[in-house]
Amino acid sequence: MRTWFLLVAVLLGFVMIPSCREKSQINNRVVVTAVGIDDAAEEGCALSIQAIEALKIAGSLTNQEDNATGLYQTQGETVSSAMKSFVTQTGRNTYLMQNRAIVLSMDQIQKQPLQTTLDYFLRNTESRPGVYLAVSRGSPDEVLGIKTSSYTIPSEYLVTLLREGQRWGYSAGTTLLDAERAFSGMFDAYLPIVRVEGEGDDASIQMDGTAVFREGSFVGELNAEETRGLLFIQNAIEKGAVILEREEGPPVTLELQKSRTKISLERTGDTAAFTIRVTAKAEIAEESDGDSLAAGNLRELSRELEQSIEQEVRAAVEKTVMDYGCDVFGFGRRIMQKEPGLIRGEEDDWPQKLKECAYHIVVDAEIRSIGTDTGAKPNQVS
Amino acid sequence: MEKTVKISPWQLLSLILVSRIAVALTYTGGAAGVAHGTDRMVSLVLEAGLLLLLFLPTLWYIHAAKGIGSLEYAYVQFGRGGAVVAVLYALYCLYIQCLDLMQFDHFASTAMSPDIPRVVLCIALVAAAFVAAFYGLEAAARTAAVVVFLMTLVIVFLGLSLIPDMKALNFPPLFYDGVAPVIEGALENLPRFLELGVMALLVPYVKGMSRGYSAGILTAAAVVLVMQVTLVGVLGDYSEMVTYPYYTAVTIAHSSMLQRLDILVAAIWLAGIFVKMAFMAVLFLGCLRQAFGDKLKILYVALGGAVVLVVGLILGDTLLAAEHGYLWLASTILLLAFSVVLPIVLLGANAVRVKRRKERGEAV
Repeated sequence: MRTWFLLVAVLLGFVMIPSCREKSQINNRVVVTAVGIDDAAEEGCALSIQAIEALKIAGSLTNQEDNATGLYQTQGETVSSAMKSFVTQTGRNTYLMQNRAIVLSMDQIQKQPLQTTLDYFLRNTESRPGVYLAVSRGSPDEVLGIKTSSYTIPSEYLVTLLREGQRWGYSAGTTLLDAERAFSGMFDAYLPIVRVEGEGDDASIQMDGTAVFREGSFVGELNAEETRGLLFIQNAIEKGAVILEREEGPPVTLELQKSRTKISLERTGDTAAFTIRVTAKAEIAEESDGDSLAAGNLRELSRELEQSIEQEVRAAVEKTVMDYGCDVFGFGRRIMQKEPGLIRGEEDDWPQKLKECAYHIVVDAEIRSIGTDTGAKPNQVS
Repeated sequence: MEKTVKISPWQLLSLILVSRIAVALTYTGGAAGVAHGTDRMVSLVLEAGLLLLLFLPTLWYIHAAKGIGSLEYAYVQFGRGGAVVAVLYALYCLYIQCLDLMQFDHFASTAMSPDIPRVVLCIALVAAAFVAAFYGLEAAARTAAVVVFLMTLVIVFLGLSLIPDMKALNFPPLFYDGVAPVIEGALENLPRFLELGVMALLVPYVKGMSRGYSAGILTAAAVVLVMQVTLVGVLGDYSEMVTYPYYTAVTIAHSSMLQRLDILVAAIWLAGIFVKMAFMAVLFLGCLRQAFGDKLKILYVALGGAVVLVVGLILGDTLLAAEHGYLWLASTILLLAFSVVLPIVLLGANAVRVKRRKERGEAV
């Protein structure tokens, strides 16, 4: 009897499980690799969808004449409706699981809070938290439309730039997960700004500062130095070139090799005093004056490096906290963790109260290597 | 359920762990606004303590009943009226399975893929679980031992691979809103471990019940704690804004060239739900066989499966609203009824019976 029961169950299973013909065919879907969102005034928003052309990736990638993606334009009242109108226009559905980047235009972030713009991607089960976010100076389709011979899929170019830009201190790389954390109220969001330089085959993407948000609304920008200061505080910087302009002699270029930041705080009456302690190690990457490498001069260079980092960090704090009144560093959260009594019940007032806090920046930099050239003077020849 | 079969304390531990982890994988408490983040870690420890405390009546029963299961004991006390207890136990098992299927239905259709053929999947799961009932308790326990090993391995592996994405800033301060959320969190989660109610039923089939139970509860608390640390470390307060925070956290997990590791969670969760439902199906069938005999066992299984399927599919869409509302209340009442009231009633009935016999001068 048990065997019959099992047999019937298996047969029933075969009958009920859908067959392949009921599933979407690959050429009925476009595999989205990047999405651009622009303001379309009365129309709502305009989407640029960079997607892999399934039929183009048949065969070897090396045999392809062009990259394997196409760029589609669509419009709708919301991101979701624009996506749906893409389906009705092309008859093809979007597949978001391979999406690598979302690029928003400056107009779009000024028009709508970040959370509203990104809500579709936060809810969609196919969307991944590791997707990179960026803001484009011009239209997002300029960024997504760039063709590069280095990458078969152009969004990889953008993602590599954003990721490496963060490691090298040029770009405040942000993923959807970082934005999600920001939306939960732990800190304010920031996104890297990119722009396109050149045209046609010479076009390239350049990093162009950081867009800063307060509770999801765009409040202002950080320049390159402030962006690096932000990355120092966020412990996100791994490498970077620092050019020290000298009063006497040519400039010296240092390469950061390691940087570590610790933030501590102590209560001072009704506010707090934060100490941002940056420890950095660097090596001399380029110099043309051998005297720079003398022991005393190395100490001097270290001091100059410390001053340079301190300036950048201070500029980032001044701009974000004092000027924009936002808390991208999670200072409020740190108070919650270390001095909860100070903030409990007054959480909403704290971004403004942060302006009254003291910020001590302590930098300890060390030049630990001069490279393979000792800088010794060559022998005099007659 | 064969009376000759005995499972070890470690197999009981496996069954408890699988049941507990399968529920924790799809925990939605954050969405309900009860204890979250760091507070929930303390809630989990408190919950384990409460589950051990709630086991005391069963422990008392185990010592007093001297190895007789609560069902047999009911027959001794109430004669043919014991069949009522058997039916109540069977319905309790069906209730647990309905909750599991609702969770399965909701998670599969909202978190994994809305296009998934959920009805077919639910039919397949229920059919497999009820067919597994014929293989008995020992088979369920052995499967649980394998599944629990994989579950623990996957959870630890995912926790380690997510360490680079965890930040100290993501952990909210402990007791920031006082101890009330911690207590609420523990109480909210307590009726998610309804298996406690069937422990008295399992007495004749488990060697070292109390050892297996307490080890199971404590190990489950430790594993779920690892999951909680992982999800809070990765998501921070955002874990309160998503329906299934653990699954959301692991969607970013990757290790070396391995990516999209959330599939591992879906796999162990599916295996866990299957074992849990099969375990309950074994007990369901065992109770009805004891009450009404062996002849109609296929009918019992078919009817049980149909009830679970219909209730699970109909109520699946209302899960989020219901599980922190009337389902919580119903589950709490049932948990207390089967884990506290029933053992006490059985022992009380025995005391009355013994007293009457003594009064009549009959041999006890």
